[in-house]
Formats: sequence, structure tokens, C-alpha cells
Amino acid sequence: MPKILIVDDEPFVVRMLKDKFQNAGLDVISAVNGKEAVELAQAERPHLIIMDWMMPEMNGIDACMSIRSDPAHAKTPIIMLTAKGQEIDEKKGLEVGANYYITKPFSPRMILRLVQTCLENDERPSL
Amino acid sequence: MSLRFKHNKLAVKILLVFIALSLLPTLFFGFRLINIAGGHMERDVNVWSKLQPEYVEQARLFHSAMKTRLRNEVASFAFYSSFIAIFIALIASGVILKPLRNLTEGAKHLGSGNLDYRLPVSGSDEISQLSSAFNAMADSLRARNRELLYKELYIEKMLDPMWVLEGDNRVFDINPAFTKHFGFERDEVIGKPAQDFFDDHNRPIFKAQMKGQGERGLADVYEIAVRRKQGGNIPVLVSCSPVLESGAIMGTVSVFKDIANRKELEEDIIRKNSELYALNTIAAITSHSMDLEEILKNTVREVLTIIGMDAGGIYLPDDTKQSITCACHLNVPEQFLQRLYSFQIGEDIPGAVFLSGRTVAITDLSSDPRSRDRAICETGMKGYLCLPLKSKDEVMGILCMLSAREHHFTSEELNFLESVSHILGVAIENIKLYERERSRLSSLVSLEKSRAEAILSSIAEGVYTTDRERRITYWNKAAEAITGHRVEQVVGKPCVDVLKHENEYGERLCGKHCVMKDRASKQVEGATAFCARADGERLPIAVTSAPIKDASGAEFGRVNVFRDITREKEIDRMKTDFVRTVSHELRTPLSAIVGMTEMLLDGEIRDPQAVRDYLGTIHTEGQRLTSMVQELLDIAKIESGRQELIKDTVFVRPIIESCIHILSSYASSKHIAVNWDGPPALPPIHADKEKIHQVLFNLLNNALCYSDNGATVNIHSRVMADYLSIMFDDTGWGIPEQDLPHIFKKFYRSSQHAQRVKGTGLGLPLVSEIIKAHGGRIEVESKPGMGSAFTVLLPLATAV
Repeated sequence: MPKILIVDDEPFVVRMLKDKFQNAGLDVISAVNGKEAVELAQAERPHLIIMDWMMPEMNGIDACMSIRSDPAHAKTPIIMLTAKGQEIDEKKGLEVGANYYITKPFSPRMILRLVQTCLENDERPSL
Repeated sequence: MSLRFKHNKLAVKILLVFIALSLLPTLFFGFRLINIAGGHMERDVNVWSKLQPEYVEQARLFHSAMKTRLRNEVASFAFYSSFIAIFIALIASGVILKPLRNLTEGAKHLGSGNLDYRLPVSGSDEISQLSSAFNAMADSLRARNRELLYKELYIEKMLDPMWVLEGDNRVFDINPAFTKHFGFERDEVIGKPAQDFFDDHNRPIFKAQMKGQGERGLADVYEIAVRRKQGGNIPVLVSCSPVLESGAIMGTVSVFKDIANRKELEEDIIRKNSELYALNTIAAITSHSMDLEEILKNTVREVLTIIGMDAGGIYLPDDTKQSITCACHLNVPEQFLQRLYSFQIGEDIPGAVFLSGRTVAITDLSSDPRSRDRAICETGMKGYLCLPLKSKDEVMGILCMLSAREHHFTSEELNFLESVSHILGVAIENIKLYERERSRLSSLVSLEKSRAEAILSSIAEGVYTTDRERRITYWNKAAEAITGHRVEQVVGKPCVDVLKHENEYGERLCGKHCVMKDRASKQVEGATAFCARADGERLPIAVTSAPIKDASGAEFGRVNVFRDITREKEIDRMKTDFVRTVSHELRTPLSAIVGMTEMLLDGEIRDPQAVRDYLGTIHTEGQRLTSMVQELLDIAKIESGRQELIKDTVFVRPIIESCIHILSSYASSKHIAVNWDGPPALPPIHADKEKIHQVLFNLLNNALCYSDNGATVNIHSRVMADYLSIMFDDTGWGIPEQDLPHIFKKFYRSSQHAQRVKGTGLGLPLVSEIIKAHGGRIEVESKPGMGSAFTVLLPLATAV
């Protein structure tokens, strides 16, 4: 079962996505800040990461960079999910390696669809 | 017609001629006749002797009677004819002699100088022609004579002396003017050598001139001096011409022009000129320089030269005008300087002159009563002058001059000295005025300068000026403080090398985009740029540049004012951050509401508890949104000054209790104890209840937010004079020192807190505004790691 890592310091976001993904048959782990995210990414080897930006300890961008530097996650789809909505932010997000940049508020339905598409298109054999 | 034989020789001659003319032929022919008759008689006798000798006697008697008769006839003829001849002769002589006598008469008249005598002319015979010729001659003689008379008249009447010299330079003739001028009579000089009329000095001049003339043969004009009979010389201008005859110089004619007057005038002019020149020089000296000593010394020198004296000096009064002191001296011997150095006003000649303003000129000190016992006599000099230097009748100083010899001061010299007195007097006054004015101006200027300096130094904004080449010419204190570039390092250097203005992308602006451009008045802010600090850091600044124009309107530099806009940029950034934060903050609750409702509507949530959770979150987030929006609106209102406070008599106790109650669950979730020691009876305040609630809620909320779990919050309230004081004292994180001054500023979030707690940065500013609007105060004390204490002071209802 594909494992999704959801990183957001806002609990209801995690709750929403967790419920949605679990209902869709996906395995979900979560982190509340960038630091935790990096640790979990290394430990659990999720197949996809949904990353918020504004978080204490380490923000999403730094976490993204860190995760991407790990060769294991060089190709892992990362979806930035953040309230930071400016063009420059999107650029930054994509720059540091995110595959998609979604701004809040979001539609859980849409996110799920995106996640499913990513997993389908993922050519990696680990699945 | 007279018969004076002595004078009438011609008449006698004519007479004799006539008589001869008449007698001679008569006699001649008479005798011839007689001879013929005689001859006839002879023949006749002969014949008769032959024929009739008797008739011979008769014949002889007849013939001799005829001879006698003939002789008698001839004699009487001759006699009568001589009378006739005499008669005719007399007439003839009369006729001839008259014109001759007339001529003689005429000639005599002519000879005696009466050239007006004319002979009567009658007829056109030779005599008449002779008369006419005589008349014509008389006419021409008269004309010539008149001419000559006139010529002689010219020479006689000429005013200028003239002489004519012969070839050997002896005087041939002189005119009366010569006598008049030089005193020599005509007969004294004729034949004398011309050299005698010149003295030793002038003789060679004359000789040279004559020689030169002799060689050249041309007329010449030259100056020389001629001796007078009574002694002395008269300077003359000689116009000398050679008299030529057949190419050779026979002598010379010279006309003299007395130039004694002219020479005197010339000398006068020369002297006047040199005086004027001296005055000019003095005037130039006085106007050329403002150095009093230089002027005085040079003037003394000039005056001494012109007047011809040996030593001198100028005295100037001291400030008290009690004494005069020597300000400069020339050629005064050392030993006298001490004694002559200074005089009291009124003392001795200089002092007296200063007082009276009248010049004292002494020809010989030793013999003049005015100089008896005076200091000046010690010098042993003779000529002395003490001249007051006046400007508009006020004495500015004294000029004293000495000469070793006696000096007779002429009226020209005194006039000249008066002019000098004025020039110097005015010059001294001017210099004094100038000095006074200069020091006044100088102190004014330095006052202004220091004032301007003070202003420029006090301005909080950096001010610097540049010249045409964009080199820094002035750099004020603030500029130094802002940029760190020190004045001495910066002045004279090109702006390009010091400030290195860049835009936000790091591109240099120098050249085309130089900040030193005129800004249209609408653009109040000026250009924004980055400049280089002394430590190399980039500093954001706002620069306004304006031209500095000279009197003609041409730009000769620029004055630039700049300020550090780091703070403003900060604020800008904070504003942007705020907007971003706000939008972020808004988005977060929104995503909960939108996302969760979507999921609920999609039927994703089956579990009733989960549904309840979702709905609860939606609700909470909704509330969060609401309060956030409200906060923003409040801020906006306060900003625009449209906050309306509904003030009433308000008791704080219930408000505080309410706040504590509302936040109790939050507090307990963090295990923070909230204690209030408020006394039971607190006087009311005059306030807007709702706003006060907001304030107190905000402060309590902050205390809880910015503390770790297990902290404590104590609320103290008491009365202090006219105020009610409520203190919120927590044991939370505290506020870092550098943030303390800014926490009441809009959007300000301590960087440390911002990482841990999401907020808008509007809470405290709102609190502060509300309190201010009530006439109260808020104070804060904080120590990082220990906690913070916020104290609100609100005026009591009784006090208002």
C-alpha cells in the first residue's frame, strides 16, 4: 500500500487529508514540522509527500531540500500544500524540488485525485 | 620863362643854335653873294676895260656901290634875321624847355620821394610820350616803393626779433623787435659776430647749427638761449633760413620766438604733472591695498620724493583718541625714534596739529619761534612739515616730514600736500571702516556659519553637497552617522567612489541613472537606492537631490539629502509580510472550513464523532476568521481615526472576570494559572466597555500565548492617584530587549515569537491605541526567560 507523508503544523489539515486518503485506501503518516518530516521521510520511505511551508522548527522549503538531497527520495513526488500563494513562492517551491504547488484553501477531493495520478505515473518499482 | 642864364643853359644853347642857324647861312651866303658880286665886278671891269675903258670907272663905282648895298642888305638881313632868330629861339626854348623843366621838376619830385607827382600829358608827340613814360615810371616807382615800404614795415613792426647775418656770421641787420627783446640797439650790433650773443653754454649749439646749415643749405628750427644786454638769457625758438644767391649762401635770416613763457609753462606743467603723478600713485597705493602700514609707508616715500625732503613718518591716533603714535617712519635716525614715537593730543607740534587740523610748515626749525623747545629740534633737521590727514574735516592722522636743509614751502607744494592730506585721510578712514566692517562681518559670517553648521549638524538626515564634477564638498554629521564615512575621508572625493549608489538588483546607478537628478515636486520621496557604508554594507536610502545655483542661475553643484530607510523598508517588508501573513492566516481557517465541508458533503465522514469533530473545527475556524477580520477592521478604523468610543462609567471587575472566564479553557490546556488579586471595590473608569474588554482580553491572551506550559499569570489592579492600574504579570518567554521599543508598532512581531506563535502583529498596537484614546497609558517590563509585565493605566471616572 502506498505510503503518503503529510506534513503540516495545522492538525485539522492532517486530519482531513488522513481521513480522505485512508478512505481511499492509502497509508498515511504525518509530521508537524520540517524536522520531523525529514526524519520520517528517511525512516518510513513514503511514496509521496505532501508538504506545508510555514511550520515551526524547519519550514517546508528547507525540509524539501533536505529530503531531495537524500538519493532515496530523488524522485519521490512532493506536493507543496501551503497558504503562501504568491508566484514567487510557487517558483521557490518548484525550485527546491516540489513537483506540484497547491495553495490553500484546497479541495481534498482534488488533492486525492492528484495523489492518485502521481502514484499511477510513478515508474519506480518500490511500489 | 625867365632869362636866368645860369640855370637855363639849354635855353642859351637853343638861342645860340638859332642865332647860328640864322646868321651863319646868312653870313655865308651873304659873303658868297658879295664875292660873286665882287667877282662880277671884276669881270665886268675887265670887260669894260677892254671895250670901253671909260666905263670902267663907272662900272667900278656901280659895282662898288652895289657891293656896298649888298653888304648893307646882308648885314641888315643878318641883323633882322638874328632878331627873328632870337625871338624864335626864345619861343622854341620855351616850347622845348617847358616840358624839360616839367620833367626836371618831376624828376626832382621823384628824387625827393614824392612819388605822386605826375606830368600833364597833352598831345601824342614825343614830348607827350616822354611825359607819359615819365608818369608810368613814376607809377611803377611808387608801386615798388610802396612794396618796399610795406616790406620794411613788416620787418619794423614784427613782434619777433629777427636778424640777418652775413656769410661770415656777422650781423647785417636787426629789426626793432630784436632791440626790444634783447636790449641791443641797431647800430651796436651791426657788424658784430653772432657768437657774441650767446653764452658759453649756447655758443656751441649755435656753431653747430650754423655748420649744419652751411652744409645742408636748408632752413632749420631749433631751441637756444640768447644773451640779453642787461644780463641773463632768454630761451628762444630760432627759425633760421639761408639766403641764397646764384646757388651760394650769402647769409642767413633768423627769426626768434621768445619761448621763455612757454618754457616756464612747460616747467610748470612738468612739475604739476609730477605732482599729479605722485597724487595718482598715492591714490593708487591707497586703493590698491588694505594693508595700512604698506599704504602709509609707500605714501610717505612718494611725498618725500616729490617735495624733496629727507625723512618722515605718519602718526595715528590710538583708540581712546588721547594720544597719537607713530604708525610708520622712513629714514628717521634710530636715536630720535624713541623721543618722537608718541605724543599726547595737544602736546608738541604734532599733538597741536592733530587738535587744530591746521598744517604747520617750518622753513628752518632752528630759527622759527613755533619750534622753540620742541622735541623735533633735537634732530638737528631744518625743514619741517606737520600735515593733518583729514577726511571731511576730521583729522585721521598726522604726516610729519623733515629735511636736513631749509625748505621753502611754495604754494604749489602746500596745495599738493593738501591733496595728499585728503587722499590719505580718506584712505585711513576707509581702512578703519573696512577693518571694523570686516571684523563685524567676519563675526557675523562665522556666527552664521556656525549656525548653519549647527543646523546641518543637527539635521537627522544626511546632507551632502557636490560640485560640478560630483565631488563631495560638504558632508554633515548625520551623513557620517548614517553611513559611517567620516568627513575627512570623504570631502574632495568623487561621489562615485564613496557612496556607490546601486539599485535593488545591485546594479550601479552612476551615470545615466545617477540619483542626483531633479525631482518633480510631486515626487516627495525622492529616489530610493542603496549606498555603500564605510564598512562595506549596503544601506537602503531615499535621496532627494536639488541643484545649487549661483547668482546667474547656473548650477554649480548639488545638495543631496538622504535618510536611512532601513526602518521604512523594514516596515514595508513587515507590511508585505503582514499582508502575506494575514492572507495566510485567513487561508488557514478557510481551508478547514472549505475542505471539511467538502468532505462532509461528499459523505466521506461516516463516524458521527468524526462528524462532530469536523463541525467543531469548522466552527472554531469560523470564529477564528471572524475575530481576525474584526481585528483587521478595528485596526483600520483606528488608523483612519474613525474609532468611536462610547464612553460610560465602567467597572473593570466584571470585565476582568469575563476575560479570565473566556480564556480559562485555553489557560487550563496549557496548565497556566491565572491569579487576580483585585480588591473588591474598584472605582469605575470612564470608558468604552467593549473596547476595554478587548484590551484586557488581548493582554491576558498574550500572557497565555507567549508562555510555556505551567507558567503563571498574575493580574494586579489598584488605584494610583487619578488612575486605575491593571497589571498582567506573566512568567512566560519574555520579550527580547531589542523588540521592546517596537512591540506597540503595527505588524511588529518579535522574530523570536513569530516563529513560535502565529499572529498578526496588530494586537498590541490596537490595545495601545484604545488606551491612548481613553487618555491612559500602557507600560511594559520584560526579561527574556523570566516573563513580562504589562501595566495599563486608565483614568478614573472621577478624574475626567
